Amino acid sequence: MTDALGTNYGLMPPDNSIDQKPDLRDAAIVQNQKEVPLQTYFNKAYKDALSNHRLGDQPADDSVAKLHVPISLIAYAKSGDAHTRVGIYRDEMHFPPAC
Amino acid sequence: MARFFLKILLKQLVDKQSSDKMGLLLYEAENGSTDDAPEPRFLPPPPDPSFLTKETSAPGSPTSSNRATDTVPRKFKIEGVKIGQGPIKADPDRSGIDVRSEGLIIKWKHITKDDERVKDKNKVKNKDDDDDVFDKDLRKKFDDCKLTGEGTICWQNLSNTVPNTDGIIEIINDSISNFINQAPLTP
Repeated sequence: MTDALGTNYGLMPPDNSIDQKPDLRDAAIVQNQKEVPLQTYFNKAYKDALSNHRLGDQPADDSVAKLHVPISLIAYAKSGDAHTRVGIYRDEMHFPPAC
Repeated sequence: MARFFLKILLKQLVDKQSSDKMGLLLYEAENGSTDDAPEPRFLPPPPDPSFLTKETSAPGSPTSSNRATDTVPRKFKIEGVKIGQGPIKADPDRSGIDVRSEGLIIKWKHITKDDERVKDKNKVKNKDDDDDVFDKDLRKKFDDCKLTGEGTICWQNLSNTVPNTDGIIEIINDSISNFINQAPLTP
């Protein structure tokens, strides 16, 4: 998904692929509990911060003056006896063109 | 990286003992060492607190790291942190500048009954006194969302020239608050 500022957002991938834990569920389980998912609110909050130049000059173009500020947020969740997590993922790593 | 911190929170990074050790290091960076912490101990003030805590040096001074202004109240406690500051990776298209980053373990305020305490009417009230007051209505909202109120966050690349970190606090505050309240979305 890409917003008006050209920022690309992505859902956190299922954690089962990493932990191999049967009690850890995909974010969708929790996000479906509510009409509007956490990621939607995160996207809006991030966009508001960019619009208000709270993260420096924007929109980001990865230059010195307009750096991209990646943020990942994972809200830990529980569902009955099982634990799960909701999250918002953005690429945290900066790879310059030379790499 | 946020998942790395989550594994510490869940005590799944290597094993429980290892996770506890790493969790203690993160705790000490934000809070200073507890009395029973192993050496080396860091007495308060903490050695490397979060950039989301209030800046105590004069803005613009050599020791200032442009932390939070304290005008945006954090709705979460910082249980542990690892901060970083240094030149951004080399790139022929740009000069070297210092950027900040950090990983956090947080817990939402007012939702843990264990933290409930009786207010002392005779005590001089300070700004943090309300942080641990249990709010059962807020707790219910988190329960309804199946959220524990704990979380991990990682951010990076915030230029050292950005005057404060209030924008990061706002993003965290608003994302979680609006989700548990299912706030109307406005353009």
